[in-house]
Amino acid sequence: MMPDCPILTTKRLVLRGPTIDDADLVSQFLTDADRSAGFGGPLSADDAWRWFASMVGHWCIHGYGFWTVQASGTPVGIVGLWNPKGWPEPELGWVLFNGYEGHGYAVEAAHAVRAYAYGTLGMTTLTSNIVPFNEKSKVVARKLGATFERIYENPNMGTDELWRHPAPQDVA
Amino acid sequence: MGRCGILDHVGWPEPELAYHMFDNGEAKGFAFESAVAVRQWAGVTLGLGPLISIISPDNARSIALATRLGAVEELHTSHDGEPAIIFRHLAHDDPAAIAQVAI
Repeated sequence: MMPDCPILTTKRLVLRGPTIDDADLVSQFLTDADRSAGFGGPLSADDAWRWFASMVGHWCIHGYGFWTVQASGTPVGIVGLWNPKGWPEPELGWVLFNGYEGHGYAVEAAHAVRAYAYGTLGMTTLTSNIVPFNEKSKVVARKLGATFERIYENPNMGTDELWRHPAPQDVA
Repeated sequence: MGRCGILDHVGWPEPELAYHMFDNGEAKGFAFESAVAVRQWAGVTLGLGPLISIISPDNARSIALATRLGAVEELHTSHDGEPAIIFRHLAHDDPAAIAQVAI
């Protein structure tokens, strides 16, 4: 009984709601100490499964959440809107699975999600939460036109940077 | 008052009848009443066979409730790195379970 999530398409990518087949891929990311360090990881396999369950449940609670991003039918990451308890405001977030960086997938998917957030959901602003050492994520943020706004304390990540995206009227 | 339902997280041996009460929700029989309803629903609607509960050996209150529900100890094991007892519940259509539904 998965939530009925909208499908977003870009030139190269399809963004769809989570399926149970994604659980192992998300878990591989979250249990990888190097890759998940900027995402509150690493998690135990048990906690990673619970995080995946929260990714599904987030859609039921908010009506938005993380999509699974597919390139040529293969899941390459998750990108979406995240707003759990303790978050300063709704976040545009991105994760690429191992081996799928460097293709511009995160930027392309995030553009689609931001357009959906500003258009269909009517959000008037968006932020991205980036841990200070996550330079790769800041590259993505800059390509999206986001800029550093302030330091804040995140309940999961500790000291965290809040990046602000361009307003709806300032993005094409 | 609390939560009661069926859990089947990754690493779970099989679907579990799980329950816990919030502060002030204990000692009123609510967990028993809830668990009877969930056991019945899981059997009738989900078609699940006799369920397990995974209980810490230190959790005397939970063990007492499982026993009151008619569950029996099946296995002493470890779960998520901690000692655990697997209790096996009555099938939902066991006469003893049906009698509890009617209470």
